Amino acid sequence: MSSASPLLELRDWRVSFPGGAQVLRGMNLQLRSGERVALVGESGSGKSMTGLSILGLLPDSAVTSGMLSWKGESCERRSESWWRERRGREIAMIFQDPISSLNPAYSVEWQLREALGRGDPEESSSRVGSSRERALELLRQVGVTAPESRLSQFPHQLSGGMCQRVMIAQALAMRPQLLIADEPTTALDATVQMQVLELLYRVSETRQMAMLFVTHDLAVASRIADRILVMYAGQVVEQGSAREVLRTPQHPYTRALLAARPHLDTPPRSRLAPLEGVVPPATSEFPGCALADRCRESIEACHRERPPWKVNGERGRLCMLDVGERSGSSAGCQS
Amino acid sequence: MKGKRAFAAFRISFGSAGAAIAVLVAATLTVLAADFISPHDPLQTFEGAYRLPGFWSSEAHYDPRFVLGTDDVGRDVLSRLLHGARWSMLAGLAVAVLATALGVILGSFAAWWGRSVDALISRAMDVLMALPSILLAIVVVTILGPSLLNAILAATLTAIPGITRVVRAQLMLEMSKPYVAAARIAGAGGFRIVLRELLPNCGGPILVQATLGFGDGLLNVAALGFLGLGARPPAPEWGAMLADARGFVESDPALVTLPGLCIFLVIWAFNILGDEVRDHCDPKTHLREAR
Repeated sequence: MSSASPLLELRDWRVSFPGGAQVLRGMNLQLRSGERVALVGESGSGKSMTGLSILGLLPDSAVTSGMLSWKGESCERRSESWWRERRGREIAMIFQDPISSLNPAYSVEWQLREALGRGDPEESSSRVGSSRERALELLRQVGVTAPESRLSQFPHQLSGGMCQRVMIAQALAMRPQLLIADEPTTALDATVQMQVLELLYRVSETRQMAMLFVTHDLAVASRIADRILVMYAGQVVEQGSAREVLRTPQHPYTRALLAARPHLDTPPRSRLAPLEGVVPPATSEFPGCALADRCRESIEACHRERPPWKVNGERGRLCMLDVGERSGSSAGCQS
Repeated sequence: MKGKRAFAAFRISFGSAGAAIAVLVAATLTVLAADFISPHDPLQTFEGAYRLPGFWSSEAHYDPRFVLGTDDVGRDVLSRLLHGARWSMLAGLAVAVLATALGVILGSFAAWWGRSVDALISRAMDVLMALPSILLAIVVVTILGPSLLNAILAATLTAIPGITRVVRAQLMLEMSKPYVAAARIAGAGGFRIVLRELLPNCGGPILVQATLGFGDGLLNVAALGFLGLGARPPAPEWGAMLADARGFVESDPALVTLPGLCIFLVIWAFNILGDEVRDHCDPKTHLREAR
């Protein structure tokens, strides 16, 4: 694979369901090997559907169009066995709820060996004796304390943070080239959240593993991602390097998300500025911009005409307005 | 006061469970050792020793060779009962194993493939359940011809729907959990997920159903034997023994009471054991005890 062709590419990728629900409305995403990208957006913006598309796990009734390619190969109309070859071994995924994502009937050791065996078919035959060692090694890599005693434990005996580490170890055991992390830290408390983020960052650095990090939390995204894609109603509305998106948000939606977060210098008891309303239902049709009804800066044209995708180097945004017309970036991240 | 009552309830349940286990252990040992512990051959007839009463009789014609007396053709009742344990218990075991195996397969197909497969299997189970089980068994044996094997097959057929439903419901409950999605995402196929991920998590309810199925199977096979549709004479099967002794209910009540008591005890023991297993597998029971 040449370095020029991306590991994963989605171009004008649309997913809809019979009955008129459009969950992705032309999603564009390019992911190079070893790159960390965060998808940020509210509930219902299509983040998780993007993940499922990449794994070929959309429900049977889903209708797709556009281009989805993995390592330069189109993923369209592939058989279930083609997908199964790639799931786990090339693309792995971890979830929000680590405790119930592990099979309650098996010990940690069993679950890790299972994953090791799948990642490397030679494993089960030639290296039986060492698979316990390799499971231990994995647990050490993900920072599990007292790994020897954890091996024989069952998921219900572990804390949420420990389970998430085991999940990550399980995903890493298959040596994937892409790890999709679907809100992996949402269920964890703040300290553990930071540890897990650091862990994910470290693994993706050392293994040159690409990562698609799905979250609704811009702070989390900025900790881990090189690039941030802000999603709204099934489309990317703004993208750019993590630093730039947070410092100088160019889309009103990104600005609204940033304004809705507390900062260290937010005066005590002052009100945050929430974005009024909710993400429009997937069945709605827009003649213009999907955000127009909620946007504080919308002009009359926003309701009538589709916003263009404006690109400037790494950065892009889906908005009618020019950056100059904005009321400044006071809501940007101060750090 | 409250604690004392709870303790008493615990003792009672432990007591009956203990008795049930004792009955089942005794029955199992009898199955294994029937040849060694029975005083006579169960098929051997003793000339002139027809319908002798057992040890409870103070009359002169109690024969110490036949502790529980003899039947109408002069066979030792105790030996027949001991060997009958072998027939009945093995029939129950066969029904439980066959019905559980088929029920797990059918239930798994229904739950995993869903839609038309589910509709087909579930409606077929509804049809089977709509008929009274003994009636259905009689129809099957009438078609296949009376024999112990056919009685076992008939009893299995009536036991399948219960297990299939339990397996299907349990699998569908488990399928909605994230670890199943995780297995799919790790590249596991349908068979692998059902066998290695889902079924190990449904063991409890299946075990309960199988335990109860053992007792039900034994009862149905005995009932068919009683109707002359199961084990053929002179086999010492408990149900067939009941049928043979039917004519002497008034003159020699022991001849029907003893096999009836055996059937009752074993089935009671299996039902108590099933309840006990259910309580053990149900996490809510542990919560209640912990409180």
